[in-house]
Amino acid sequence: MPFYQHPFFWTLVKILLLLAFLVNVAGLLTWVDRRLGGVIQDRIGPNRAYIPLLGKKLRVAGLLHTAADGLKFFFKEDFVPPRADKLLFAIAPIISMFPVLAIGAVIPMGDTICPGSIVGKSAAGNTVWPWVQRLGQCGIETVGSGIDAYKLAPITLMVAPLSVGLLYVFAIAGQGIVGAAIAGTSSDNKFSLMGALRAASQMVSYEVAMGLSLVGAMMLYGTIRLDEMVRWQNENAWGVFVQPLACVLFFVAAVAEQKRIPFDLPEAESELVSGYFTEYSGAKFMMFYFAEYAEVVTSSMLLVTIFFGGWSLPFFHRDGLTLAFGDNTIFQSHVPHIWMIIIGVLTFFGKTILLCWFQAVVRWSLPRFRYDQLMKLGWRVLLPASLANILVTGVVWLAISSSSASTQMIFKILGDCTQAVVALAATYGIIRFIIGFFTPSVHNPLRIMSAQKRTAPGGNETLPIQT
Amino acid sequence: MPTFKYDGKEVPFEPGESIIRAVARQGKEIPHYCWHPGLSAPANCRMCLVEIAPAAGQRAVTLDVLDWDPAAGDYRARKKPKLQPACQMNAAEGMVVLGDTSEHVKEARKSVQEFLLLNHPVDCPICDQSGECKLQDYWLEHGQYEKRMRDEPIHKPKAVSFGPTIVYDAERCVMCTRCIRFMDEVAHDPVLTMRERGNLNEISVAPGRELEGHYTFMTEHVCPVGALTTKDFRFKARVWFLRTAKSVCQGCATGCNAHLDFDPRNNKAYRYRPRDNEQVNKYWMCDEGMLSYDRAHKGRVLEARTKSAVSSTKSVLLDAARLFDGVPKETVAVVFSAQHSLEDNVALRELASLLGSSHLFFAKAPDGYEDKILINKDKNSNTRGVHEVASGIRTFQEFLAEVRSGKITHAIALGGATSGDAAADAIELQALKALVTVSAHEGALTESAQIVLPATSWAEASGTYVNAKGIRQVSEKGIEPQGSSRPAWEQLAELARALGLEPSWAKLKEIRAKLPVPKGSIFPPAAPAASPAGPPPAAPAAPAP
Amino acid sequence: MPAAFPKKTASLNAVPVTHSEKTLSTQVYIPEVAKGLGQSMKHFFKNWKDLVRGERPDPSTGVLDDGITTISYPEQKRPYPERFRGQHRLTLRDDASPRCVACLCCSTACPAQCIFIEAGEYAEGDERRGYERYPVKFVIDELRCIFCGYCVEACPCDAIRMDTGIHAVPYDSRSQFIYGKDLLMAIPSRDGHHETENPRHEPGDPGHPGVDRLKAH
Repeated sequence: MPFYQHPFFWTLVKILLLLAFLVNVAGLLTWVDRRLGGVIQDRIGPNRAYIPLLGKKLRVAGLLHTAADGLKFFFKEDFVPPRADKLLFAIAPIISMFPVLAIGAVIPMGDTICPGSIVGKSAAGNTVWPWVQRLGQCGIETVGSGIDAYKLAPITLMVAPLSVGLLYVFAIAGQGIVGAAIAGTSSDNKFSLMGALRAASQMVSYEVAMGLSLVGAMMLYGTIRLDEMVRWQNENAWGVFVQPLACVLFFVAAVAEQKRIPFDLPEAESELVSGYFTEYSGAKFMMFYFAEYAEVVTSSMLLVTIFFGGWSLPFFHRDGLTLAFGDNTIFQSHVPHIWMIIIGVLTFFGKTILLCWFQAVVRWSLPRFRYDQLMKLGWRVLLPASLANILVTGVVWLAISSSSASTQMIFKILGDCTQAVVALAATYGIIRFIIGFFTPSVHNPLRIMSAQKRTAPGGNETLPIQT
Repeated sequence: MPTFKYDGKEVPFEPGESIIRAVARQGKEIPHYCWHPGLSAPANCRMCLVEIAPAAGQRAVTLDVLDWDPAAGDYRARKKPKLQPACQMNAAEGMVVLGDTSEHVKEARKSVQEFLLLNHPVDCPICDQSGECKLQDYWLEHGQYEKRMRDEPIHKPKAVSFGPTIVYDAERCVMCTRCIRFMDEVAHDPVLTMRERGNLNEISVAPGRELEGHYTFMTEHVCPVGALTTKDFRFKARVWFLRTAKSVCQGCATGCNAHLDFDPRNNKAYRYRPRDNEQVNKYWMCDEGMLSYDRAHKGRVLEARTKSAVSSTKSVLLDAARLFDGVPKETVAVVFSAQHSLEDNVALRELASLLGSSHLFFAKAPDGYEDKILINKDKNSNTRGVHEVASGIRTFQEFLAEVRSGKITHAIALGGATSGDAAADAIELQALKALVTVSAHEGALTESAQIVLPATSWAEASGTYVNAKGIRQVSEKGIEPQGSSRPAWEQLAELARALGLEPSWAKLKEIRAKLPVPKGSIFPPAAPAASPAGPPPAAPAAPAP
Repeated sequence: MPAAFPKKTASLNAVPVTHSEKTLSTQVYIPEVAKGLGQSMKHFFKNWKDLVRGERPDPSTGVLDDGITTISYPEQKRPYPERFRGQHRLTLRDDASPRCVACLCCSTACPAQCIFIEAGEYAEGDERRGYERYPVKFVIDELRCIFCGYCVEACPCDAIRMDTGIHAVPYDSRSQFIYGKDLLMAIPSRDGHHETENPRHEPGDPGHPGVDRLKAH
């Protein structure tokens, strides 16, 4: 058996793919966060780091700041407060980094690959790129013939195709509290301790709302496996349409879990210096810092998977494009399986990046909550709302599933309509974006005397604008 | 006393006195250039013109003038009163004089001002007089017009050296002739005169002569504008940076009252100006006195020192205590100084009585030039004062004789100067086992002293001086003490403490209370209970060196 | 019976704080959040487009425009206004001597007392002797200077100007901020010359029309 048939090999590849995405996007997010903040606030944002290259300054739009920051973290003194608990102080950043990366294990990055259906031979002996059936799973297939024949198992694009799926996510995500709490208590610093207390109570509070907000979705999808959830959404309607309240609740709870603005009380600079990681520096600080951004990515992945259709695109299914409302098929075109896999993976990552961007915009738009407001929001708004959501979802779902076939067909058509809405909205957005991009900006320069003198002899010639 | 009215106010006067002088005594000034209280009145600047109302029943003296009437395009005849110079016009009983209240006077002042400034170069930026120039002051008060003359002003000689001390600028001169009259009337050396007429009028020195003698600085002082400047002060400082202390000249026993002008920013004295005092120097000072301001900086003792090295006052005092340890009081003498203030000498007297010493001597600088105007033969500012401080005080020669005979081995001295040849005196003083000198200036006494303590000069501390006439005068503090110098009475108190004695004075007030009862008058008159000015005691004729 | 502590009347000087009205939409918070996000995105898209397309408003002429008007300082500089008060310079005459006559008006006017001048007299035989003096030393402590321009206003000879367009330079030691006469004379104006447009009447000028004592005869 060649190495690529070994399941362990594919697991390794998937881990690498996931980590590569997670680490790179999180790293980029540190840049995006600052650059985007600058642009939102009518500034340029970080753009000064450069590499001298052939007498020019290579700046790459400020991307080098990320590299510079990383280098800086590695060369900084690894400071440990003299009276800190050395062991706990050292493992705290690892503990807070671990769950973020571990959550990614159950997130499906694309549809299950049927290796046997990727390449085929036509009757004439030519190589063909076949498509697979829309429904049903591909089993273990035998490829080749004779001595070369071997069996291929389908490759799920999740690191660990766990049947407990979402439960695993909750279990792991809960460990984040431990990291923050240990970091704060082991630092021997009042601010750190207060930050840790805030972090722990905030995360515990929002954990509840986060878990309960997804119960409705689980009821609807009828599964807790994340890839199954995506398939349900692909066939029916995106979670954001069937569970809009849960989507909002989950999003809010997820932001609070990340301890990002507007819920950044555990590390509120104006109050607590840096909160629970005040005493950290160098690579340990980088782990906290990086974990925060990685958390943005994983939470975006979860949101995409549960509420935004995961790898699926409207009207695109395993067998290709099927434009249909209910039973009325308007247009159908089969697409080879390999393309569907590639499109699915790109779609998933694309949606994730879009949500990361949205989270950054949120961070730069909203002011921080007061602590009591935070607690009120968690316990008195999010929790009752998620409970109500479960109740309403249950009742409605019961009503729908016990209704007649024609009624169910109406809902099926409605579901397809939401797919159409998404497709139209996306198309409109893209067109709007392109048109907007190519419409020149209108500026009204002030004609003041000194400005006119700028280019006069002795005036200060302005240089080309650096971006 | 008869009175007349000036601007509606009664002004008393003495018969035969001019209006300007009577008004000036009331503290009001009638603007003037050529008049000076100490000089005759030529009435040539026309600035002091006043309107005098005609006496009852008399016709007013008027002038016929033509005024341009722009509306009619023609001249119009008008009568206006004939104004009189207040410096020439003697006051009379019941006279009604109008100055600032008369439109005619105001107009006249403005016109005179314009006339005097007609050819003026207006080089105030480089003129030393600017800031205290009468042309500037009166232009602000009475001028305030725009220059109407568009022609090039007349150019006359500039920076003419009149002699070793004075530079003349004819363009700035307003021909008030004060300098000419001063040399003639006060210095009795009519070396300056006027030549040419009209625009080309200028002051010149008599042919074959230079402006020299002992009173040349006064020509600059009386000059109301920047025409005469002294080479000493020329371009050194701007007068608006200078602050003034009411000082007393230390040049000789006359004790001329002076303004000491100094710059507080660099703690430096720049010049002397005479301070009016009818009893002492009237309005004048001599050249030597005017230049003696630099004794605030020249020849000063600024740091405490022993024979070998400059040291801190504290360690030097310890050395002094060692030198005087167990010395019998019969061998200790104190030497007063005729160049230090009464306060310093009184402090030394107190120290002598604490030590139990009865050998009291005094030192003074040798005599010098003398004239009948201001300059006294005695070149010490406080000779009379020393004699007031202690009776039975002996001369420096006697002190040297005692030293030679070995009766006196230890001495505490004030001031550096001695009456004999400084080098010879210094060698003689070497015979002393211990000499502690507290002094502001260097001299034989500091040269041969084992211990020298720096004292402030008259410019840096308030002090009282008695001049040759027996008038007691207070000199104000000007600049801050230089180096580590302190007032001599303070240093003496420190010395007393170092010697294990308890000084009875620590403040200026306490030492002032110990001053002897004044025998002459006090200036400025401080206490009303001053003792009557009797004839000065017979003694103080300075002993021959 | 009068009260032991009479009640203070409220001060009418105070301006009451105005709160924005509490409506349902603000109370619910979500619509306001959406508005805020929209505002952020609007700025983001517009500025991003300007950045990518290189259409940023000119930082100097577009200061009031929407968009990014940042000046990248060391590379770009805001154009100084025409009357910007920069580094001092001492103006020169045609013969390259300073116009300054050491009148000390500038150091008198200087509120920071940063100008030190030592005046000197021209040598015997110099045609300017008597008419003028000159600065032997002219020192400005640029570290103490507050660039108020009073010295320029005070100067009767137009000898000191601040039209160099050079702004205060950082150095690494205090002594480097002490600008002497030679340095001040060497600094040109913005237009690159060392003189001023204001003519000066020199006693030695051929057009100097004065009548002197000898000519009158």
